[in-house]
Amino acid sequence: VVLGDIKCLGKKMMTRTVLYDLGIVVSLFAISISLGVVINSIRSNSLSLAIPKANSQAPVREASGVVKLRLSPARKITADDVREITADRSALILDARPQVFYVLAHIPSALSLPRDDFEKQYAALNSTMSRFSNKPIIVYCDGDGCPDSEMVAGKLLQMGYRSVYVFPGGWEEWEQSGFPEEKEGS
Amino acid sequence: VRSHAYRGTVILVRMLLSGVFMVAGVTKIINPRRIADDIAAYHILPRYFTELLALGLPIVEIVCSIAIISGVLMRSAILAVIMALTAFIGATGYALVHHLPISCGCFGSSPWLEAGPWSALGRDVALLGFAVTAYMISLRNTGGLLDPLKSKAQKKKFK
Repeated sequence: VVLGDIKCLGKKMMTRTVLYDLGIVVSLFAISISLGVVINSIRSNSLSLAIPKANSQAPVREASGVVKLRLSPARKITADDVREITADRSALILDARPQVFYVLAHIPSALSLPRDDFEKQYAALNSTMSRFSNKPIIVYCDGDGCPDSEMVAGKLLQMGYRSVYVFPGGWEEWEQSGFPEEKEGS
Repeated sequence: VRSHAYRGTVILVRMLLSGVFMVAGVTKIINPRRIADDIAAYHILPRYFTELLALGLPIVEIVCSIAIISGVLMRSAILAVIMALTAFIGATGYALVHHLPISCGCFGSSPWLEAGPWSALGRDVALLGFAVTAYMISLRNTGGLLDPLKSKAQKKKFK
């Protein structure tokens, strides 16, 4: 019955009606996202947007500022450096991505310390972390432009860890280099 | 003349769509970080867009819910719901094909409302069916009011 009624409407009118609706829907999404960003900027548990570096905002600048005190540009950690470390286990490797990515795959021997759940996961890793208070710690996240590794590294430096490094290429560079991966439970 | 059963069914469909999207929107808006992570876990959108979507999607869902139950811009709201459900179905299908260990994220941080990917897919397909039917009915009522009792003009038209 409904389909029959719609056929009677006429194609032209139906197309115009659907296009009108699409216009409203696009406006609705645009207004909602803008409103969401405004609400986010005033709420207490706000989401810190991972804005690309060209427009980088306070959280990224703050974290990288802390990291630069410890890590000169000449000593940036590369995928090859990290691979050596995974072989001789001379440093602790921390994965700062959300835990769901860690579960999918991570650098061998890395432990999960996501930026979003830092306090809880740090408490869970407390005994391991205390053994590395004077040893190198390497933090990574997705890859170039992701702020999570620098933010976790910044927090660790503030907590008194002395040798905290960021692997800026992160998971993307590791994966592209074809180095071995480890999965949760493997 | 449309029967009472027809009108009742139409109102029930509106209540169902409105209720589901209201719950989905309110539970998501509580914890945007969790939603951003759930969306990011699908590996479909760049991180920056997942965060914008996490901020905007709950508001879209709440606005659509209010529009569907109130009748204001209802037809457009149903189209938005159809587009959202199609995207959800596509994303869940993608996660199933790639064996991604995701939580669907459909109802924010409420684990008691969470479903496995197959249940989420089934629920979304069923809701899409209702939404498409509702949109077709509202297209026929060119004034955009699905409920024939809402408008006197439409009521006359039905008679």
